[in-house]
Amino acid sequence: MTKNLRAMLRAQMLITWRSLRDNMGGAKSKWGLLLLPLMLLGFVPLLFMMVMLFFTFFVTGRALGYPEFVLMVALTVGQLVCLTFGVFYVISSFYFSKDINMLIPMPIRPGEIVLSKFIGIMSGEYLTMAPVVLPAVVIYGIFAGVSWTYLPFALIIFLLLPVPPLVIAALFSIVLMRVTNLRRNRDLYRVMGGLLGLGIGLGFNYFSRLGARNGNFNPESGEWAAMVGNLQKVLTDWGKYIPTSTWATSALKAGAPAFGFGSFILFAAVALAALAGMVWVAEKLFYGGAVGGEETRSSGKKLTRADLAKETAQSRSPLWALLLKEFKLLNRTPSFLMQALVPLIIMPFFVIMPMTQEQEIGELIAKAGANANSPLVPAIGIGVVLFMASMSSVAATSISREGKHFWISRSLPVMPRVQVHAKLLHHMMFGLLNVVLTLAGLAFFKVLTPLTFVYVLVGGLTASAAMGYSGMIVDLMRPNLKWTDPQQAMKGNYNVLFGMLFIWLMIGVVAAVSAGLYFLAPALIMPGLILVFAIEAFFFAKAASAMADKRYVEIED
Amino acid sequence: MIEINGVSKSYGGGTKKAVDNLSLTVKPGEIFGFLGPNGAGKTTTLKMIVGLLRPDSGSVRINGYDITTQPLEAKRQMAFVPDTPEVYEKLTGLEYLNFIGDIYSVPVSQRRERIERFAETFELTGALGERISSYSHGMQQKLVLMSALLHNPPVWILDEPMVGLDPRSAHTLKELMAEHTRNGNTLFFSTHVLEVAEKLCDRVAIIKQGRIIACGTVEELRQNQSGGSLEEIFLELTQQ
Repeated sequence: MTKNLRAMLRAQMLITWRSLRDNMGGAKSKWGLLLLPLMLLGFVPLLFMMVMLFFTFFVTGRALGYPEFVLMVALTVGQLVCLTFGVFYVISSFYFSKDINMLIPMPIRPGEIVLSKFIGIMSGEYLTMAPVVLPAVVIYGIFAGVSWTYLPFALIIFLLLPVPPLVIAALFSIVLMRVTNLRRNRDLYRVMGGLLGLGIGLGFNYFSRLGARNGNFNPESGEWAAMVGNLQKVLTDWGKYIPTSTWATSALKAGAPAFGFGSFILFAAVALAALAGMVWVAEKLFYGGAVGGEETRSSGKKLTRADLAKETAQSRSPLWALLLKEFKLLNRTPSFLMQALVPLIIMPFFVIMPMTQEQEIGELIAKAGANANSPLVPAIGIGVVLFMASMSSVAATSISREGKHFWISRSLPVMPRVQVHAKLLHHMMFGLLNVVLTLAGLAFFKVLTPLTFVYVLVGGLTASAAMGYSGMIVDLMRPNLKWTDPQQAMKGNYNVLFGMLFIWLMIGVVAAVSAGLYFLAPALIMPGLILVFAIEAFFFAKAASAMADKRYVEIED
Repeated sequence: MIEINGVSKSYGGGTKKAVDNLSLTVKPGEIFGFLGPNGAGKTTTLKMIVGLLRPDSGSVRINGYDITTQPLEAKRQMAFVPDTPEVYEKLTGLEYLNFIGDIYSVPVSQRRERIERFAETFELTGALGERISSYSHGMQQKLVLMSALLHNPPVWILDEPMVGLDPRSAHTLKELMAEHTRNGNTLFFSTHVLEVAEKLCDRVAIIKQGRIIACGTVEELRQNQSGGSLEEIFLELTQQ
């Protein structure tokens, strides 16, 4: 077992390391290296927030005579995070990874395959858990007066912490895949993953607003003490169901290991026994869910000669044919469609959610309606369109999405610039939806005058065109065509981030121009803005066209 | 006609020469077979002919149009079938054929007639309404062949076209290839099936390490070597 496991882990590590190196620098592009400090910088506020939150928990918990409460919260939440994301990681890695069809015919036991993949997932989970667990462990270690033995015990507990929740996720997945045909419905699985992400995002937004309104991280606040008291009760109840958190907390609390040694042994033994149990179940059930399921179902509908005659009765221009192709390919790839629609779905939620908490929506509408003729209304409308468009990844991934099929576009007798225009038209369909939603929002607040309608419609569409071309310029410079999973083409594509930065730069220019116009000729703000968008759209279109003609020849996939 | 003049292509920043100063001409009415061991430079040459790879030096002309300076005109003259039939899996077979028909502006009546004929020939009529993702490798290969032939181009460039085809479809394809060149058109294809090359080709070229080591009719190659079948000639030449 050890020999096979070692070989698989070595191969896995090599693949992970090389793809990381190719993505970040090396083979693919040096551009990724520029993003690294930005990404690290992005974590600073999250880390700061976590440290503040756990410090508050620690102080409040200590005041209530329960200082290890902070550990209990962090270890429980850390395990819950592992469990939630774990199911999706496990299914992806165990059942949908490309190497499964290669590993199954080899003389390797199913338990070995599962264990090697499990270790791979676990190493990723440390990164997911770290921002939740480490701040709490460090805060408790510094302020609770623990002995030096705290450090090795904390380290071992941190290393073993993902095991119990991931084993539960693995067992659930192995049984689920054995009894359902989810492996055939990969798209359904991806949509479920996307919806879960969306739900978590919205939930986080809701609770963070609630928290911000209620507490403002004031450890002295009475509300906090009440909240910690309630949470403590909830966690004690949950402790029955997540005993590993209770044992790990007991093992680490001040005075340990002398008092917590038994809990530590219990925690470690359960984690290792769970691992052994998972291998045993995998030996029995893993192949049952993993073998087969690669075949794609046909609709069973046979095309007749009459159907064929009907379906070939119409010819279209190349531009229209290309647009139709873009439309169908995106709509029929659920993870693409989700990614394209999520910003449009999520925005209204983010706007409406805080208002439902205010319970003053009627008053707000009345107040807004009184200002319907303010020149600021269309400007705000266009601002909303710009913000929503900046989150759209349709244009910034339009070349990347072609992936291994890009050779078709390159061999067509159609100018690359025409192909790029077709992609823009496709992006504009989402741009139009974006504008319509914004107009509906303005109508909801009773501020939509005919002039505002015209300004937002024309300005929004012109801005969308400029943004579409700028996104495509980014994607043409550095397309990601080597993806094997559609999610890598959109969700995992740095070009979306680059495109967003590009758009924010553009918004800066627009803001500067409108500020200038505000002081010089306020009446010209909206026509001026639209003119700026039109000029940007024109130049970006020229640049994208020229770049497409050049890059379609240069990109040798 | 295909004219390849002094074409070279390197990978890895010029360290690995895939094709080295290759020149040849494929005349109208000719079936030209391109043979060579794995990694000899066959696919690289074919991709340079169709414009998917840029030559480091040299030129390629298709019916007089330079693929680098007149790419659209050159592409309208030809059809390309790659070695792996990868097309948009989310479209149905018919949607893909209609897409190609629209791009090459194939009139509706001709489009319908050709799709019907080729679909029957390749026994794909019933499956054309299905998503391509449900097709087997052979069915995808047939679809790519149909799409390549849909606009009836004068020059066909096929990379390993027999791979994945059942014997009946392979036989049909060979007949189509012969018929195509009988009408004065040009056909350039790569293959590892030496029996097919020997039976079908007017001329063949053998490429090794990016260079053509033999070119001519099978009879001419036989005279230059110690005789025998094309397989024996190939083995002898590529072992040296």
